[in-house]
Amino acid sequence: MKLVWSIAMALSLLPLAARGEDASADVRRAVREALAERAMVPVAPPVLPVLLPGQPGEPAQRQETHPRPEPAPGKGSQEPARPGTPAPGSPQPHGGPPGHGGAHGAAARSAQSEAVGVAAREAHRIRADAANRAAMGATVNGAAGEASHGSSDCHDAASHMRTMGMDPEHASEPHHGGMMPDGGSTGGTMPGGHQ
Amino acid sequence: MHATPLLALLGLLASAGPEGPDAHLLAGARAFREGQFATALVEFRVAEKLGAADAGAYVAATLVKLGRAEEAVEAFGAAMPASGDPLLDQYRAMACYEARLYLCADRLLEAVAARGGPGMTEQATRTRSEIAAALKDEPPTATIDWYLSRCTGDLRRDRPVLAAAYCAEAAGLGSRRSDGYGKAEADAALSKARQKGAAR
Repeated sequence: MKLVWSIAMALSLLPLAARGEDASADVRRAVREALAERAMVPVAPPVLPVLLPGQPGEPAQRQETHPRPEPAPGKGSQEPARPGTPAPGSPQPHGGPPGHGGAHGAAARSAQSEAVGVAAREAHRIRADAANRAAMGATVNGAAGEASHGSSDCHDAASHMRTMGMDPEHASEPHHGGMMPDGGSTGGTMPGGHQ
Repeated sequence: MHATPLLALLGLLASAGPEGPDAHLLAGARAFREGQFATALVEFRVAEKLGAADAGAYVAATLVKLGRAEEAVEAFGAAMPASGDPLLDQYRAMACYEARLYLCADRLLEAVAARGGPGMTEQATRTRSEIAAALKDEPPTATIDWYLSRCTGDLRRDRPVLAAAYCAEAAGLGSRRSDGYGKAEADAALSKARQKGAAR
């Protein structure tokens, strides 16, 4: 009797399983289409980094061997400027290039990443980004819309975390606010520039 | 009662349900398409946590779009040790390029140019020619020193995949010099980085 029940159960699962595979294939196709849509990006000419004398082990302290081109800011998305295309007026307090100014911050990120949940960490990043956007919007453009958008991001991320059974307010990672998310700090999404 | 079929049923329902990995992959795809990369990153990471096998590569691609190139290099290393998919190789190449791993980018772009679509091939070819122009002269020792410092630094910071990438870059650049400056040191560090990465 048990055997018959098991077989019946397995047979009843077959269509579900098949449907699941089809759905997964469709989902993956959708993801790949999204990736393909945004795969093409302008790239700045390559710039060979140089370690300055007297600064061993400090990759942030370097100079460029080639001049950098003018910035080519993206529009309508969160995509940052490419390396070599710093946002206008974006400071680089460590004198390093975009993506390399946060050597110490990167180490801290690496250590912290062991301690917290992935999704909670992203919630913090989104919150920090939102704070940056709000601050930059108020300072540079007076863009109140940006600030409200940031709040919405925060709210969405926090809701999402709660939906997933996580607590976005009590992750052990320190809050990464500040105006320079990756410029020697931690957790930023915009190395060397601002959104 | 047999518990196995029941558990299987529950698993199927869970994966197909609104909070299964596919739902998060779809939400991530939607956000990615709209340019909301921070949101896409959350969704792909949740999907990865829920067991979506290929979500790790999507996480890495999203990190590229967020300008977090070094994390992307690490994530690609963990998600897909071998290349072969032109679309993901394109993102991986951009991660390398933005992390100033130009030899790494060039290798991947060569494959993209060979197997990608027309647009990707054109961009890959153009980027490769720019890399070739930047590397046409013998690389300065200070440049190799920079890569060596990143190599040893990331090794200390327990980022073996990224460390290995910088070590390989230093070794590759060193081999382009007549005196092989830094190559032996880079090779030794690369070996260490790979051991450390394999031990993870």
